[in-house]
Amino acid sequence: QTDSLNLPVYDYSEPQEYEIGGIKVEGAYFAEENAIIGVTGLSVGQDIRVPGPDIPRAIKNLWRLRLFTNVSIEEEKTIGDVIFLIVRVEERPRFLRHSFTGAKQGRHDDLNEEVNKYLVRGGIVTEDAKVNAAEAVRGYYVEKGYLDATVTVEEIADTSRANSVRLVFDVKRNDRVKIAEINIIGNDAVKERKLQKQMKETNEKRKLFKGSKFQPELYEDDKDAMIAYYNTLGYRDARVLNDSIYRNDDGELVLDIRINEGNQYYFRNITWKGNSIYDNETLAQVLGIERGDVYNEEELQTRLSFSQDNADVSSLYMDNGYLFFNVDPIEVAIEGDSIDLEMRIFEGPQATIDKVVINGNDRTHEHVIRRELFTRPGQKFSRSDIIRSQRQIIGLGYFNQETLGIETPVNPDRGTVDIIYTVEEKPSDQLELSAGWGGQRGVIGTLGVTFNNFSLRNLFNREAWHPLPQGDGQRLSLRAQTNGKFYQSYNASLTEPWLGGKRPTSLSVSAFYNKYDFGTEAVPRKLIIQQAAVSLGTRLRWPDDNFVFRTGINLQTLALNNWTELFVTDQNETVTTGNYNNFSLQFSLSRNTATDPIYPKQGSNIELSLQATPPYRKLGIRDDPNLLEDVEDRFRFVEYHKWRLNAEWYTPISRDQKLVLKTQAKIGYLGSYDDAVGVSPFERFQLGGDGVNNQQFAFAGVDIVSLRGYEIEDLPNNFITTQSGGVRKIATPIFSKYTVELRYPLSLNPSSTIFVLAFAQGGNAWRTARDFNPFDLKRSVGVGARVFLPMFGTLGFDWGYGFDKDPNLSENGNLSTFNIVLGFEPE
Amino acid sequence: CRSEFETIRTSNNPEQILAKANEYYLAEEYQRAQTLYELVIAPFRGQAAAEQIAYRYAYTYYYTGQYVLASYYFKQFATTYGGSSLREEADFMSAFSNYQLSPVYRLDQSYSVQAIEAFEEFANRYPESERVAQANSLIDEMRAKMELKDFESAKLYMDIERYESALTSFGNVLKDYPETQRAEEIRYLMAKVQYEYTSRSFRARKPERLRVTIELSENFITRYPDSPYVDEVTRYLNESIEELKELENV
Repeated sequence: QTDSLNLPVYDYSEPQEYEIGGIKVEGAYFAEENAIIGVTGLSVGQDIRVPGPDIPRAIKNLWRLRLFTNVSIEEEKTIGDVIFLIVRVEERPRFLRHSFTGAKQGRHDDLNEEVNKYLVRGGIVTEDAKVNAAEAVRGYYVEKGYLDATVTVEEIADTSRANSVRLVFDVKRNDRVKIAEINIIGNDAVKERKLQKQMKETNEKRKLFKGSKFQPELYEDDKDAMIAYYNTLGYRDARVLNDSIYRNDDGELVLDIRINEGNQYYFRNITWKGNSIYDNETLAQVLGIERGDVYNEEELQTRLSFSQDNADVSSLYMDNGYLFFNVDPIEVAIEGDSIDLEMRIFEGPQATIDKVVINGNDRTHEHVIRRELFTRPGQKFSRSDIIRSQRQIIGLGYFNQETLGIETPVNPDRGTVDIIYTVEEKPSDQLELSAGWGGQRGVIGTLGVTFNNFSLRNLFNREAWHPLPQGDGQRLSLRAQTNGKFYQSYNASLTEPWLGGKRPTSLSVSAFYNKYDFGTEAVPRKLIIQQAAVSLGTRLRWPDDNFVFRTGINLQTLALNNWTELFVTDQNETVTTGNYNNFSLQFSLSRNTATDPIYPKQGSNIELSLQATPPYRKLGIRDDPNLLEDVEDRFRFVEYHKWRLNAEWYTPISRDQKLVLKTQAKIGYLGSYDDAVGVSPFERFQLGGDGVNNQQFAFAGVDIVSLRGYEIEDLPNNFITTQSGGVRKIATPIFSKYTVELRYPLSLNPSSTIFVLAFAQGGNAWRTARDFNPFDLKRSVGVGARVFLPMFGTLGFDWGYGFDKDPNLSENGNLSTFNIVLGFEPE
Repeated sequence: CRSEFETIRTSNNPEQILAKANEYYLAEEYQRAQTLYELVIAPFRGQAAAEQIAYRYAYTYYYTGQYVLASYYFKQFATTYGGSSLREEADFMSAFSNYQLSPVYRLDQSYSVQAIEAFEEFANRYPESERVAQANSLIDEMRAKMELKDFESAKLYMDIERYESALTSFGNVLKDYPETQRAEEIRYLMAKVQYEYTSRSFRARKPERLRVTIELSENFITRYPDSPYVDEVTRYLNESIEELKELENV
């Protein structure tokens, strides 16, 4: 016989083996005996050890059912080495549901959450759980400032199911208790107002825009914050002597806080010990604390290890791989109000990277990430390499920037560090499926897909298709666009970023076919452009490895039949019919340090490119003077050199780096080798409008560049007067455009990045180099918004107001224009 | 006009729901069975039927390809019904569900690690089980995959001419996978990488690196005298000895 005072005594030094001869269950009314035995994991015939692990485990399993208020397993009897067990349980009614009275409907969800912490449906109801749940509900109200709230709970047998109860929580909320006054006593050095400001959550009721509820836990934090504030001023002995909280006549709270400020202390001598890599001057400079400064423990710690901008003493070492670095400031003397510090430094060895681990890539193949990283095994650890690697990973565009994790677990015994990158894949493919109204030309249908993480090698491996072969970082883009009769466009491109896998040399192969046919059978009017292009891009090692050099060859033919638009020379000759060959080489040098392709917060992206055809005439290939006679013969083999400069900078303005300033300059120049031939009518620029034509009528033989606030028609240089006195649209050989844009993100969630912008822009187009005047700009200001959806690309709009518009020139004298952005940002 | 499934689902009659769930389960309509089993878990708590419900509930996740949850529910079954005759199977299936999630070697191998741990635990707990052989062979399969992954990443460093990184990574493969079949190839590649690394080093760093080449080459030749790579490694050795002599004589 056992009871709680007289427990059976087992000698743990001598456990005995028994065979279970039988198991009885007592106290179960609603649970089935066999089920209970099953849960214990014990069975008749089984060998067990007493004392041993089996019985406690069985009891634990039973507790876990949450059906009993008491569980014990006892020995009924033993016969030789056969033991008979009794499982005693105390069952309680089961909790079926609960309800609230006196609580607003809107609060029920929050209150349910509190109740569910203690009570589980289908589990048992204990007194303890009831009290806890009621207290939690009351706590919810107290936190909201209803200090006088009361909650009672009633248990009611539920008739709908046997052995079940429901609980009714009765809430009496009562009035909210506000803080009438906070009195601080004993403050001489600091004004009361200043101290109250340190209390973030505990405020007097007269403060505007701030609640004045009393929350005991936060009040404790606020008192600590007040003392912490004193500490930053050198009062390191400051403390709260006592505080009292009482009600005034109106039932509102009054807080009296009595403070002892203590003395103000100052730094005196700071000495360094144990430093061999950096000298005392360097360290003192980084620390930035001078003799005579007010003693500020928080500032000291910040300057040693926790500086926001990483310009602290620890970072100085850590950035260089001294990961085992440690500094301990010891107060060696306190004399009067002066404190001498000795900085005891342990430098330790420079850590070597052992393993670089990449986790979380469940679509992108590991080598695609690993080859981009600047942290490599066997190298010395450096923080700047990690930052660079982080940028590379984000730059791939396959991973969520916000959840990218980097850990650096160190192994002090071996002096090594592992670097663990944890990535989260995000959708990076784009699908374009649209039907749009293309003005007078009717409906335009588009079907386009871009796979940014394609895997060519898995093309014939069915298992790797989900839904397409992916993971090798190749980019495949296919696009078809047509409105049937008038316009057809097909293009395809494939890019392999690491050709051969040894160098970051990218190979792109692309081709397109565009057909415009606005004529009738009687009067044909047609333009067909076909192009095949191959280009190679190499990451340079000098001047630094952010530079990329690209070389490409473009083979383009243009077939015109009675095409009267746009291809006009500066001599006002129009190229209308015939086949033209535009064979060019392209070179570009670019440097890209922008952090994120979708919402860059810092860095820059600069590209200078030259596209040039052979100078056929200078080379003596086409030097027959007769060829100059006819404009169409003259440009049969188009010759030009075309320069583009595009530079953009991103500067974070706000502390959280969200508000970003984008500064951009774009310049284009199309030149000729030979005055006798003149500037080509093809490959020119058309400035103005929303640049959307770039997509709808891609590759139209001119570069279409947007200018917000102005339509193409608003720029006088876009027109040329014909001999008959009419005006004709012409594309220009020179343009420049400058933009400053303030951007602020509303959402940086990679599944929908949203930002708003305000811009000021100036740009113009010129017909000859002599006319070019960088200060003669058409200026505009405006606002806009962008949404980036992974499957659809960038969508958005801009509203722009052009100052320099000729009201007579523009339609109905309206100075503002509205631009839509679909798919991707226009040039 | 509600379907039979909907009618049962909203019937609030545990016995009826369970009967129908079992019917769906046996008819291999696991998605529906899952929905219904979920409803009867609470009402049958502490009843004899609870065990089979939990067991089949876990299987519905397995059969519908939701291996993460399947693994979790098999594990939960095994801890709740410690004495069950189905426990061994549940422990195995919990590991096997993770095995199903283990992807090609080019991707993250977290599930492989989890599966290996679970299979090892299984083999320790049920050393007599006839499933142990299968567990071991699956462990071998996944370790081979992880080894290949580490080997390929070392080779990547070799291909992009990051010699130090390649050497460190090859060394780690030998250390982490003592059972590797590639030991000979790896030691050969290490000698080769060290040889190329040395040949592209500044003169001042050469003697020290030549000594490492010599050590790696000698080591390889003694270990694998019949290797097809022996001739090549011997060349590294001889050239390195020669060059070191010259450098030291100057």
